[in-house]
Amino acid sequence: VFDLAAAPGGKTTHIAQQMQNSGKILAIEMDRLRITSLESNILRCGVTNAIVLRGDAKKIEKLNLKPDRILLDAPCSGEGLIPLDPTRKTSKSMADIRFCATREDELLDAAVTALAPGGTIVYSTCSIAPEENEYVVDEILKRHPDMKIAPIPLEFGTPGYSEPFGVSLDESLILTKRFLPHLHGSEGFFICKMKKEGSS
Amino acid sequence: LKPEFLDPIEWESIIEAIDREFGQGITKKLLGKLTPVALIDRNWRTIYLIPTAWMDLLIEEAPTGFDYHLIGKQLGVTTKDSFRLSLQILPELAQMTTKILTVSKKGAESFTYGRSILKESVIYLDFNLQRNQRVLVMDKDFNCLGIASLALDANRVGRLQPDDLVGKNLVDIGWFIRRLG
Repeated sequence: VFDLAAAPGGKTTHIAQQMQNSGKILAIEMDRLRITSLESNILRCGVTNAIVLRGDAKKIEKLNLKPDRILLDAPCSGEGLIPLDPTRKTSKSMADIRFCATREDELLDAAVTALAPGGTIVYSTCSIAPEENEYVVDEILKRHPDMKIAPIPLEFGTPGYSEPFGVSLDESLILTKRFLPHLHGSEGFFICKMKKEGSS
Repeated sequence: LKPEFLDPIEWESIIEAIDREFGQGITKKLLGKLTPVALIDRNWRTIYLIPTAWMDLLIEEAPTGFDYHLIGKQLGVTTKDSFRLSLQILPELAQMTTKILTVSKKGAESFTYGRSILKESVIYLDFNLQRNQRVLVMDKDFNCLGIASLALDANRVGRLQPDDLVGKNLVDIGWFIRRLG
């Protein structure tokens, strides 16, 4: 399992718990300071099946590995955190969203390329901006026809947008999930689960 | 950081350091079917135990732009002249050794704030342990809180005043918070 942009490790340690410390998790993080908290959480939670690599997740093809599962909780504008941190409402501009969307697209493209045939990838952000979510996934689906969105068996949340701002995107985007602060009492969040065709 | 297999001399010295403090054969039990490797930084070597199947991946240097920071189960750290056990291995070690000091709830809380252990906090200590012996500090629910060094022979603890020192704090799980504070 690859966990990209893994720090501070909440999801890494949860994955390890689900895997009961078997198999292998490659947790990749670029930020030197954030890696300290990732390591600390891995040690504290007794995770023994993880390898922490510092590096740019956009270059994971250099690792020459074909993971069966990838989690990409991408660095984003954090729009979904406005209920917790209202300053984000004014501190982020459209330029920030464009910058994040470009980086998210590059990260997701690298992750999808590395994924083994038959593998599953989960892409998530804590942003509610369609530019960082549905638009990014739609571009990936166009570039990688072997990728298909898979349903998320959760009653919680609302379907993703297939026509944000009146622009028609891939219809299967309604299989993704959105969590919205005013409807669900959570942070704003987006999750998309995709599978790569083929057998592992 | 570059992974490197341990040479037998270094591994023997680690076995000796752990077994001397916590009992003969303990290191072998901790190792199980795993393989010891080291991640080397300038001044210290962090020792990890990894499944043999991982060796193919780790035997080569990380690709350009990537750097290993943690691999598998952390056993401890060797510096120039000593070996320190990792906090991650302590719960497993606690299942295997009798070198244990159990403390009260108040003592457990103080210990995780970096304090040492006073007589009034001691609930259980093996009568035969000697001064300077490393012991695992456990709370009443058998959670491992860290390592202490005995300040005196265990058979003399009964003669102490409630506020006399019994175990000097060497490392405790509060470090997980303090290191990032």
